[in-house]
Amino acid sequence: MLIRSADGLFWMGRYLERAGLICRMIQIQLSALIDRPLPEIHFGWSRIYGSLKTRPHGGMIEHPDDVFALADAFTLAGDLTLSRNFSSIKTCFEFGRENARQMRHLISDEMWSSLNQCFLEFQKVEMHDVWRAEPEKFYAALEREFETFFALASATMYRDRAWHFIRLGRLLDRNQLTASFMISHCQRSVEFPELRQTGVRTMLRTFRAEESYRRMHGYEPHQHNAIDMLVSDPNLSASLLTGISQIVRDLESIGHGIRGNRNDALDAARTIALRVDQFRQDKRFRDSRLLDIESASLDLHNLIGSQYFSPDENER
Amino acid sequence: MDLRQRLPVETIDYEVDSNIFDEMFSSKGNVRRHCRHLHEFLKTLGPGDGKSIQDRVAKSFLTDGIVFTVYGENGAGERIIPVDFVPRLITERHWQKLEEGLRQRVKALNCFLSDIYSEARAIRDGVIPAELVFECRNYLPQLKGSFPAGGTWVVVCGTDLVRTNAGFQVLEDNLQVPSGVSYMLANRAAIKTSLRTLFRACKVRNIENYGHALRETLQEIAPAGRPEPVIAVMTPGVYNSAFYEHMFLAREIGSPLVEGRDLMVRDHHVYMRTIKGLRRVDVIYRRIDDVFLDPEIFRKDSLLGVPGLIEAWKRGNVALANAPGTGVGDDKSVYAYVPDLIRYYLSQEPLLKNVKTRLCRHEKDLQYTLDNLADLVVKRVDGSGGYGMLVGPDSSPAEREAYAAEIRANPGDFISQPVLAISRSPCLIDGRLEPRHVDLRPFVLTGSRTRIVPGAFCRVALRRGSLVVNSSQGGGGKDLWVVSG
Repeated sequence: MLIRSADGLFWMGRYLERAGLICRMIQIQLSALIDRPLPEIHFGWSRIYGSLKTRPHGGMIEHPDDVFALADAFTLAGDLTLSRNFSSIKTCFEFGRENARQMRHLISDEMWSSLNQCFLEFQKVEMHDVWRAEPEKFYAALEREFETFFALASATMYRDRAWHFIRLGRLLDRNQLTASFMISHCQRSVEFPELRQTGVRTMLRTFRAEESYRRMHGYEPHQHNAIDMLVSDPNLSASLLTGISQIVRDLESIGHGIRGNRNDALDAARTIALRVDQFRQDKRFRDSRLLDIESASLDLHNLIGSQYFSPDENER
Repeated sequence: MDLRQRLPVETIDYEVDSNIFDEMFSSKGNVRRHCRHLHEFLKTLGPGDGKSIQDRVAKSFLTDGIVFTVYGENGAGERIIPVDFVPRLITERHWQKLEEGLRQRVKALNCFLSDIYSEARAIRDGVIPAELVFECRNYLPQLKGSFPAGGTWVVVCGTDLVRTNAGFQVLEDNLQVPSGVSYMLANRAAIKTSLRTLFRACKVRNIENYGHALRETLQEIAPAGRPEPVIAVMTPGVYNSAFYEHMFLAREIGSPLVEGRDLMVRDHHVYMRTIKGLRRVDVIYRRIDDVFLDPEIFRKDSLLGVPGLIEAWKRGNVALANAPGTGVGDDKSVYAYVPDLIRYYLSQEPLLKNVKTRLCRHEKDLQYTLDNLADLVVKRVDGSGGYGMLVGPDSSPAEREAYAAEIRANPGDFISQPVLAISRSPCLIDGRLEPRHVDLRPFVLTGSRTRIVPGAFCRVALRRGSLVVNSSQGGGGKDLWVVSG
């Protein structure tokens, strides 16, 4: 597989996964607007922006009343949806679709048609149209489109390197954002301890873990249990452990790449998998260990780049 | 005498003109025999049915990304080539004749290219003037004495043909980077699905094996000793207007789609950069013009090419399709000599006629052209895409005056041809059937043998009365069916 193709597919996976996850975050946040108290809404936005490591243009309204809360939500959702920055659905979608366009000969017709149709529709979207009816439904529908794209990849693609690179990009982005979201949640919980519990509930909902959590731990959401689950539960599809285990398998399938017998990316992924697996057993320094996992995931991205996407000096 | 009349041609309200060949109706308004199924089908269409099919096809093209990119003031946009859903039908008998003519023509053009880059016998023997070849912008003196390893210069040829009351005539040859085959296949896929019953009834010949034929052809031109050659399709990149086609072809033949930056030359062999290291490439189906192929030999500022590629080709270590230097055959002055070249190299009479062409480099032809500008079509010898041409009858006196000044300044850059009564075919325009001018571009594949799939990219001038079929000038496409009849 060409280096440029592998790179393009990897980024396609990353961008489209990110676009889907941002949809999910906004969708859960917008449902809070219906009946949740204002501080909780504020906590939610702050957690989202924290996990995306960005700030809204002009900042957030710190102590909003009812009227401003809605106006603020409209602005913030718009910022994360249609703005031109790396934390908006629009940017991620455009970049992901452009990667897909360039790599179209390596993905299935079904994947392309599904993605492109959605993209053409999305281009017509205006924020006030989203807001006019039930905005969370818009985000739910859009998120489903991204899920459909990946489901089509799973259903229609030959399990060659193209497939593994798409999945690698997707899982890496998911793990990074999940870790960042949990870190952001913990930081806000220190600031607003009274909101921790409800925040845990929406965090579980964001990663579709709420029902599983109830079955495993009961109705009351406890932050430690929730984070344990999101980090190291091998049966939860959104957990970091599930993601990193799949990343290890993908890297094994892809092989060494241009670096001969060394595979620094695979070694790093295995180390992360080990750390994640041990997370539940060792209860000490959880916050800093979460930060370590996040940082190691960022390093993994770079290692994958140098392992597969950077030709040797003598091949330039 | 104006023979145009609006005839209720067997219940279809449609205009025929006996001066212009109609693909579906005779000059008396009778349905041609091989079109009877199509005619019956069109009669059954209710109001809005045709438009509904057309809209469906257009939407599927947009969704599936069967587009070309246009760049304007507002950045890049993706556009579809409008498809008219009414297919153009050609009988098997006529197609066979076309095929024979195309095989003959491409064979002669291959002989010509071999000749001009070696002994130049045709020039020595006075068949074609030396200055016409050697001063041609697409002639590459750097290739003098070179010969493609597999022996074929023109591996893929797209020849533009029109039909008049006098039969088929060649309008131009596209040898360097002929395009449009993806639209031929996309049009077929879309129309076949939309008109499934009619398609079956007409017993249309299959064109879906084009990818297989192309792959076999490319394998045949591979360097010796490479029984399982690695083939790559080379694109200028995603910003090229024909990127869709490049991607489509790479996929059809199951080969990687490479850009210049994916390739490198080492020890006069070409390699591509893969995640496992360098991998040798044996055949490159390049969709990039000659002058951009190798900055060491041609344009120094080319970022699209690969340094050392031409030397690797000269040494026979990689095959290029089409071979560099073939662009000389696209020149419209050279085109005028193709019938003579057929006679010279093959000792045969041309099976396909040329359009009568006057070369403005000749004093007599220049004078004739300037005197009759209002009645002629004038083209630049190296023009393409319908750009820079003058259609006399459609031009204003001021336009003709400006164009005449350009011709006088560089007469060798222009040719003129009579305005042809190009055939028309029924098209759905604003909900009703109307005749529009059409041409066709079949594709000839030449490796160790010649292959032609029975189909073509059929272009249609959608604007009423227009003779310009180019997609860049508002033209559209049609499916072309080769049927028994």
